[in-house]
Amino acid sequence: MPDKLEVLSGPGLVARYDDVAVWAGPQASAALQTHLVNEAQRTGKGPNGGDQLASSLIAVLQRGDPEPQAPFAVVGPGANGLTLFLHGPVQAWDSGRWLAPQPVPGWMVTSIGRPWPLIVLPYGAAPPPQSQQGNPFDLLVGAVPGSGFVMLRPPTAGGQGAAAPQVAAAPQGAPPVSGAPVGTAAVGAGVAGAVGAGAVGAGAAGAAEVVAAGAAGTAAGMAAAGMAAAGTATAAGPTYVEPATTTQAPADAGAEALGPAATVAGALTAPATAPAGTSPAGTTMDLRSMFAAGRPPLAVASEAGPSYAPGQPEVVGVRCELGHFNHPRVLNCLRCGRPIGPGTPQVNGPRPPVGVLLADDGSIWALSRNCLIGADPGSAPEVQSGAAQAIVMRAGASHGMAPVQAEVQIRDWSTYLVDRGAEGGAFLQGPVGQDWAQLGRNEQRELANGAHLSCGGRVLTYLSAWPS
Amino acid sequence: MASQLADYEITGSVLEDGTTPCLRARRPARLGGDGAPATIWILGPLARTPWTVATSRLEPVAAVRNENLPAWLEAGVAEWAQRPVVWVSASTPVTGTLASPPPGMEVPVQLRAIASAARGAHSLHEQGQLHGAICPQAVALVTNDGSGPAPFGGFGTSGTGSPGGAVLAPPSLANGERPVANVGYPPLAYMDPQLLRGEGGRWSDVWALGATVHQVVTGSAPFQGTEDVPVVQALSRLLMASAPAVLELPAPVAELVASCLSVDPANRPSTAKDVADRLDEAAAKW
Repeated sequence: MPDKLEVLSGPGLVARYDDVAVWAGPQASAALQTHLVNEAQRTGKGPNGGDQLASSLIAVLQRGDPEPQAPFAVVGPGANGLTLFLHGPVQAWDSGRWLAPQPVPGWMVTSIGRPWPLIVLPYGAAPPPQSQQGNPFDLLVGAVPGSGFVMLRPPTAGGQGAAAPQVAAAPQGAPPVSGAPVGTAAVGAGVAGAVGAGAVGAGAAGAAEVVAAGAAGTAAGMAAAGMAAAGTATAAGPTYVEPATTTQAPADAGAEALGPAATVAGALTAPATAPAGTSPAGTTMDLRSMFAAGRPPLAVASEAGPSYAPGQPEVVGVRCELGHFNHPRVLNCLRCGRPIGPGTPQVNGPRPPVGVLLADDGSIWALSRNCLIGADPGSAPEVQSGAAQAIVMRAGASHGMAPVQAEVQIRDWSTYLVDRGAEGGAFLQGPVGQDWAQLGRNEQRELANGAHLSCGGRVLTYLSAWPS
Repeated sequence: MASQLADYEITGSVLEDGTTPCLRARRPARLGGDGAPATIWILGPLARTPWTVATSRLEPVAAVRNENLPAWLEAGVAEWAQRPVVWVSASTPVTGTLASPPPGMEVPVQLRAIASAARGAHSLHEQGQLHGAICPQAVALVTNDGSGPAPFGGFGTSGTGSPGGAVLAPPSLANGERPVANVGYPPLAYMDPQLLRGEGGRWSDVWALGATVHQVVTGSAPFQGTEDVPVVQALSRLLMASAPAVLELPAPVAELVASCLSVDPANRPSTAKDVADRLDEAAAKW
């Protein structure tokens, strides 16, 4: 007799085929919902359908998460009882603890024995009221609307009394409906206790925000990694295509790196209190279950073109015998070292980086584009359009730093410091130690090799890569 | 030295050169392992490496699982030496680095350790990640079983990147985002000028591997004069450098190092794995 499956009313989809059950939240695309239903049908009859379905999902996710914010859950038989796979803002009660994926990687899979009840809900949703004994609700097969489900002991498995679900009373702590600080210190630790320690209070919105932000971070990381396509998305929307060969879960290759409780990813922990990357003080980021897929290998030198070439303005220069473009006054190619004779004809070509800025904190910034220096230069249109790069600097002691305090412009082969009109201004000091000179409002001055510039109490030194 | 970093118990220092401390530690109970050993690298002051940059860089790096890379545990921000720093921990126990190899560690064994590190770099490259900070300090020597210092000669004796050999320490946080580098770690003497100019790639790590071999074999890095002069001067030299001064090297590694340090990246070994294979061959012939 299969487990009893009570569907919770509300938006979303619940499907069941044999011993495999899935839930997908309303945020999941139709393609994803269809994929989950089809996969449940495919794997439901297998001896370890839960494991099979989880593996196929992991194989997809390893190549890039097409819908990081779509909540869904899968439960079915596995080698060690029930296998539970959770993705996105979803939570599950396994009769001992609330489980939820960490914001990164955004999913988890684990074995949960054979718990009754097993509750699957959207992240932050309150648990359902206790189910009435003997109620006839039970999804046997098919897909129906639903905002979650409760899996219960089969009605004949121990008499009516044994079948009585203890849904409302079960959680030792409240479900993680709050953004209370339960996550970061709970990595790999007893989760029920951690959650129970402080998960009551704030509304669901906070918790949802945590997960959504984390998922967004993952998506951003993937986008940055060039995984947006990853072979799984089409112009019509994401599709889930199982790869030809099922790959190992990412953490398998490094078993030592896994915590004792983790099965594949997303350690058994309460949701993090804040998305990775936003909260420094005392924050930790669990690295044991990171996964990233689809990032192309780095080019080998013979295949790589100059990384600076795309979109670079054309300037007059000379080419070595291999065609590398150089400053017109060089005697040896900076890329390959070959000599460039004085009579070499000058031609137009994409300008390579002109040098670097060495900041007072030791950071080195290559100068291939204009640079905006300030506390928040990323908000400037030039940076957002890609025309300039941002150099984020905090103000020095007793100074202020505007979002954009100064600019370093590159024109032809020359470099200029430009005052951006912010309070405090910008200063320039020549390479041989002259006094600091403040630029007038919106004034610009050429930077000589070795010149220092200062703004907001910080100092950067310009070093040219080319002969002056 | 403080005895605590976050909730790790610090038991000693593997290497502390002022910029890149590598610490021995015990894991907190929440990570399991009953106080099992861990290694913590201080990746830099928070002021230089904002947490957002660190996380965006570490996430994809930590996703690369390889026996020649540390078995990552977690990263975080904590007070260390009276300043907030970004740290990363691993369950791989590190006993030393090639910056100060154990007395009696023969050159062929060191070459195999670099080969292990090169394989770690290759695995990163294949996942689209540049290490960007390969140098002797980054070649972290590990025990075979975590029970104690590895016997000399036990480092990487399999020649296939044994976990008993070496792992490649955490990469530069600078390379995933701008800036392209940070002064101090890795030392400028091991930095590919192409990387400094913003043209870094797989070939930059290959360069650094060659420079590391140069150091192991000759006792000095190529690009002499980058450590004893003001950093501005050293950077200027590197930016306009055409070729490093490569000392005369023993035959088994001469050609390999020369090719790794080619000014033209196209003339360098195509991959770090190529470097690893050739290092194992060189070690066998030594």
